[in-house]
Amino acid sequence: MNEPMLAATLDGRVIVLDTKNARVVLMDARSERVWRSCQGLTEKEIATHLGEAALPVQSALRDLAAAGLVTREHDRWTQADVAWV
Amino acid sequence: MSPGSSIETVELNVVQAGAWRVHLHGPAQVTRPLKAILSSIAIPEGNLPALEVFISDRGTAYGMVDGTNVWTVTLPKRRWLSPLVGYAVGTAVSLLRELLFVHAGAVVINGRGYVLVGPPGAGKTSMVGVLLRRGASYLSDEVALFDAKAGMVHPFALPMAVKPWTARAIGPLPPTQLVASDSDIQYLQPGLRAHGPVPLDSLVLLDPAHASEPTELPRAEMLLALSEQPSSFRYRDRLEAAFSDFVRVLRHTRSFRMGSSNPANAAHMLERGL
Repeated sequence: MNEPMLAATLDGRVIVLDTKNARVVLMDARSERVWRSCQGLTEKEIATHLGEAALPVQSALRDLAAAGLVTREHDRWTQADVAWV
Repeated sequence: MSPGSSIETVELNVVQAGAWRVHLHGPAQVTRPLKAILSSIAIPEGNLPALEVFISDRGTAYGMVDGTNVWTVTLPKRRWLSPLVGYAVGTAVSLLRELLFVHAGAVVINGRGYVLVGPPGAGKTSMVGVLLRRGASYLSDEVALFDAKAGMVHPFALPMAVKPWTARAIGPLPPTQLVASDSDIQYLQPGLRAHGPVPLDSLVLLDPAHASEPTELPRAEMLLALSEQPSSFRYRDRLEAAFSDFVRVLRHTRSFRMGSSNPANAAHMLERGL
């Protein structure tokens, strides 16, 4: 089982430690909304839920997945485990 | 450098328990100024393993910690002190276990610490120099050391490495001691220094491309900027501790961004704006 990623909220912005790539990831507002919506929804359901176009949601999911912040299983997106600092 | 090796030992100041020792082996004309510069550092953590520095007459130097080679450098013919100081300081901060560090300038104004962060050439040393002229006390122009639990910033009083263009930007400094010189770089120890930790007030991100007034910088953006500097984030075994501790520091600290294209004006704006 993977260790949870460290995350913090500073001045209302979510910032996460991407340990695997040894970098800090600062989410923009859209990425954060998409990330928070990754509760077992599909890409299309997330876009509908947020009232966003498909393309930016797809792009945000790609970036979030590259940082290890979300995972996809059977086309459904789930947040990685996060420990809040 | 000429033959005639000698061995000198630098025993650094100790602020709390323990001491960090640097043993210098090499020609006296190299070890003497290096010793003078490193002797002014105070590492406030005990039980750090010693650094052994070996400098050959041919201008190669290497550092060892606990019997392991941690760096090797071929010294340039001019400005050879700078890489030696840099590698010794880099070793010191890599050994820290309790304190955080970031490459930064730092001064004390009205009893509180102000840390100036920015990319190379952002004007950190110039800003520190101008603030000293205006009555600030010196903490460092190289490394800011944070005690995250206590919210304090410690002195790391390496002498200021003042290049000719930095000297022109700063103007006449208040009384300083010339500790060493290397080609056109002077290592100057400011007379007015903080001799212990002070509460951290603000982190200031310098932007050399602009001359803007200080404006509040969201602290998440400051954390991102800190992670991009030489800092405790550089060490994989300390990544999570660095993240947690910098978050802790930032929660109790003000965060600003400002232009630093003109250090004298920037120092004035910083004092006025904070």
